[in-house]
Amino acid sequence: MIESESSQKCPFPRRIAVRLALVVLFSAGLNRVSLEGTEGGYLLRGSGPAIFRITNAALLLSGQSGGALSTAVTAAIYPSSEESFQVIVATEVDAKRLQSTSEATPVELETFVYALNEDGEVVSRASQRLVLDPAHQGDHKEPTALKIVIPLDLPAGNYEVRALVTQTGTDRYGLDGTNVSIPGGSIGSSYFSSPWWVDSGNAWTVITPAEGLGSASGSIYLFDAQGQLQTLAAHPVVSVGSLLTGGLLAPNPTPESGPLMAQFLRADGMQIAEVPVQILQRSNTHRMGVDKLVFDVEIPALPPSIYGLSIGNKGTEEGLLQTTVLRLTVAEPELADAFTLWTQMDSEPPELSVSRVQMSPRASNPRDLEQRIAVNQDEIVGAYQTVFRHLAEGLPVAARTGLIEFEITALRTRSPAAISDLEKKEFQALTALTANDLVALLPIAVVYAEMIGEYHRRGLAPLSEHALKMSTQMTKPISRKSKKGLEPEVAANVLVSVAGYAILARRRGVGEELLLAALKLAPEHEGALLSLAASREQLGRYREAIDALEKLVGAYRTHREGRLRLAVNLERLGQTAEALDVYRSLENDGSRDWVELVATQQIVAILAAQGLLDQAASSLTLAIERWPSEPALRIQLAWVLDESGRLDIAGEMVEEILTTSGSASESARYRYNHWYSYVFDESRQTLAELVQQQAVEFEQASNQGPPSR
Amino acid sequence: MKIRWNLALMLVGAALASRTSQALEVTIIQPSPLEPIFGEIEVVASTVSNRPIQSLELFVDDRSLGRLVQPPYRWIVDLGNQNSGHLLRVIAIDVDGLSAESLLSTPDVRIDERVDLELQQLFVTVTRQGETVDSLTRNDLAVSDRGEPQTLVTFERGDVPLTAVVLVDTSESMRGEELEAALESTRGFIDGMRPLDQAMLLLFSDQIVRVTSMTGFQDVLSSALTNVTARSGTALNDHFYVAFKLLERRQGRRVIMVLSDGLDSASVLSMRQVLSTAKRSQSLVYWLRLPSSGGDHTSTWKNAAGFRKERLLFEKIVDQSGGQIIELSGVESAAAAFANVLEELRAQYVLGYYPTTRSDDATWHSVRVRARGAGLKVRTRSGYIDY
Repeated sequence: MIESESSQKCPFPRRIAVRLALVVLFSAGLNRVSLEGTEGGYLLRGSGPAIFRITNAALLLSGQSGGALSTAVTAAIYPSSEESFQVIVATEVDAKRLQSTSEATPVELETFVYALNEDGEVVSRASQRLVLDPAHQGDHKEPTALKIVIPLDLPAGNYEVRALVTQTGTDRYGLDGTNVSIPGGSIGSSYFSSPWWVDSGNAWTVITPAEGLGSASGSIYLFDAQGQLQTLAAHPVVSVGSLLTGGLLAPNPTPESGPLMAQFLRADGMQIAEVPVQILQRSNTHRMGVDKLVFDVEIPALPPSIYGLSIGNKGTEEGLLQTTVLRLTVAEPELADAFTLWTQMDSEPPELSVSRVQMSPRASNPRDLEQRIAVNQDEIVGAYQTVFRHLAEGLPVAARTGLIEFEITALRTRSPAAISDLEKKEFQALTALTANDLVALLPIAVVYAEMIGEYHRRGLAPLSEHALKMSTQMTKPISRKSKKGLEPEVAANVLVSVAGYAILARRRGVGEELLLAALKLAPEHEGALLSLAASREQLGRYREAIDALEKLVGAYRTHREGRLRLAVNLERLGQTAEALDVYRSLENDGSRDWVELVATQQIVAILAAQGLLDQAASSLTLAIERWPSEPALRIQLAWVLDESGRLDIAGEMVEEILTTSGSASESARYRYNHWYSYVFDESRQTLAELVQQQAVEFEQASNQGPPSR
Repeated sequence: MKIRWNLALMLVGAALASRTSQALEVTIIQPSPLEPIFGEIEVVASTVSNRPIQSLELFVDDRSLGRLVQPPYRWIVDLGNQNSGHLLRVIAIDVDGLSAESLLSTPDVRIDERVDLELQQLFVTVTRQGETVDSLTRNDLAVSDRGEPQTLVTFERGDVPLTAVVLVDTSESMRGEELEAALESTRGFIDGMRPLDQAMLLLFSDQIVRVTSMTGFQDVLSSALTNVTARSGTALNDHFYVAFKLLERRQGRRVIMVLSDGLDSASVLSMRQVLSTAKRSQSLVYWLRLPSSGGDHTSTWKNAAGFRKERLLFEKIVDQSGGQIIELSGVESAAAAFANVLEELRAQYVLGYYPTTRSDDATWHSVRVRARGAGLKVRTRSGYIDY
């Protein structure tokens, strides 16, 4: 049984216990306090006990998405009267992540929705309390996915809506946010509403507001599409080629403009694809001068991942309209068929940055900009000069941490707008410092690349994104041939190295672009080809991985790792016979290395899958003679013996494992997985020398007069 | 797997503790003289003396198997799988050269009459609104096997000793405070063990990092938790399989506890391969699931879809075993979760029945247990393979 009660004007949510980890960040007395297990963070002055408590309110105001309860939120507006709009906020929660130990004990959830204006002030809030009582559930299925719909009243303006879901009596929470814009007194000519999207699956348990808009059904299902009443979707799951239905409010008449287009964005906000929108229906709402558009978007060929989706037109700059961004998962077709909800796709909190990307054009007058960042251009130039000095002195860590401290203190808020402002100013400073020759700023680009991971480790995800953006923007000119005349192989090394940082920060799309750029410069660059292939393997793009590996093996015929990976990927695509040939060639050349070991394991797996258990056991017995202290071989042999019905011998083999394992070296399969440690370390080594050399040159040039590069 | 119970007439071996000196006594306190012994066993002796002990030496069937010069006086010895009695002798010598010995003879399993009892045992947890219910009687529980009602021949409640393999993930994702908290929680589990419980700790990354013998000695288990370093990848599937195999030849209530986020990146076995072993097993599996770092998980061995499929299979294994997945908000909550699991195990019902239908054809028998009473929830393994 589900009980719910809502409050339009709730008090600030009550205090929950959240453990905080205190990390001393600066010698200047600033401490970073971050929520355990999240990427949130605050800077506090002074010192105190190592464990703090923080209120829900502070969680909400932090704006740092995440938490143990996976949550996704979307908001859409609806003309509720001739003169006003109502905002409907749908908060989706993965109910499987509620504390499962409680079993039959009622689970209490509280959802707090807050709207913040552009100054970060709370202007409206509401809450919903739910009790899920399994004892009174009867025949109803236990909800695995909850959609909590809450209306908000908001005046005209741009807002960030944040939803916090807490499980009472635990420290579990989920936090997510989205943007929404409410047009002014008249709709004007430069407005698209936040779009609404509909779920193809009906597996949500929808919680209606106890009070609020007229009828409960009206508040939830007002977003009808093609005659069917639909709920809002905060995070649809789609597959390539499928149609996603959505709708938005557009001014009537809509200004002259080109066709509506759907833009797909990567997590870093960069557009990756654009497809035309097919309008299914346009109807006059007879309210506020707006029309309702219902449309379909055909999902383009994108690799499986989480993306942002925004609808915009192709008008002139004046008539350019753009919606806020929806987060969606593009999944493999069979997965999208099997799992219609994002909560089924992944129990982890989804990557949230895309929904926070501000797509609507916003005023950015210089005064606003100064308010969001606390440094001027001269100070930024000074910070970069310090970086150069540290690098020239061979102090790369000081260069990195100095720039990190500078950026953290430069930002008055961590909002996307503030970070964007900082980026603008930093690029201006770089231009001033080097006369727009970004290649001359390779050392700074490398420092930024190193900062991607450092920010990530410190739990400052938005700044990690910022560092990634800075480093990739600055390395792009290298792919157009360096003005400083870097050798193609060296320039490619630079790109591979920065790609490595991006990939390690799980920005694979950016990493892949850099690797492709490196290959344009040096088409047979070993590290780039191997990295490209391995990165594609990781994303399940096996055919494309094979393309890169065939080039690698073509260029380096004896490349053992390349041949191994080629065989693994051929096997994945069902080309077992070809894979087996390659594995056997690797097994028989007597190298006795990790590649041979993995090849043997793969051969055995194929034999076992074909039911040739005796052959598999023989291969393993011979392999154990070659690698007597390799536990994985014995585990595999035990399993093969088990499948052959020789349970006791398998048991004895397992007993042997207990005394043969514990090798200090990493396992062969771990080595296969950790390709980047080897590939990127090599390119970084080359790069580190180049960076110091360039920094010294820059320092010398700076000491002789104004920068001339 | 069919459990064959051999009705046996035990020859009771006498425990002979002979004294050669009034000032020095030695006693073999484990194993029991009534207990037939096979395979790897633990022999434990204690001494009483007013002078320092110089050494204790263990002989099995007149063969010396080890000499200890300081306590604890315990030996792990492998006696093989032959069905035969053994003579254990421990000789103690003190600093003055005085000696004492303790003799213990264990029986073999005498097979006078062989009867296939084919007893199926079920370990059943019953709850009402999340609270364990331990007041049910035999008549309150009904078992069906392949849909057919079964007659209970054994019914036990409460604290039946357990034999556990505890798998603790010590891969690089556990580096730092995470690992410390995981080890501390495991210590809590060890402290919660009762005298007849036995456990084996297996700390793993992509290989075994640390492993103990199967023992009831808490000090032995705790000593495995020091100086552990998190490193390398996670071969969860491989070590999960190892745990099933280690418990296969054990009797009684077998439990596997896994403290991990469940993200395997380096195993040679797939979770589907482990599933086939798990189906043959009678072990209860408890997965103390650590939160993972967020986002889609990928490795060059498995893409995101691969990880999801493996996780679903893992969940299936836990579910079919009659165990439970306990979601942890962080590793610091593992201690409470371990305690909850122990509490649940202490309150389980142990039901035994002879299936009315046997086929010996390696087919799956689905099993269902119902409890009489309002709002009662029952958890047990979903079935077994008949062969």
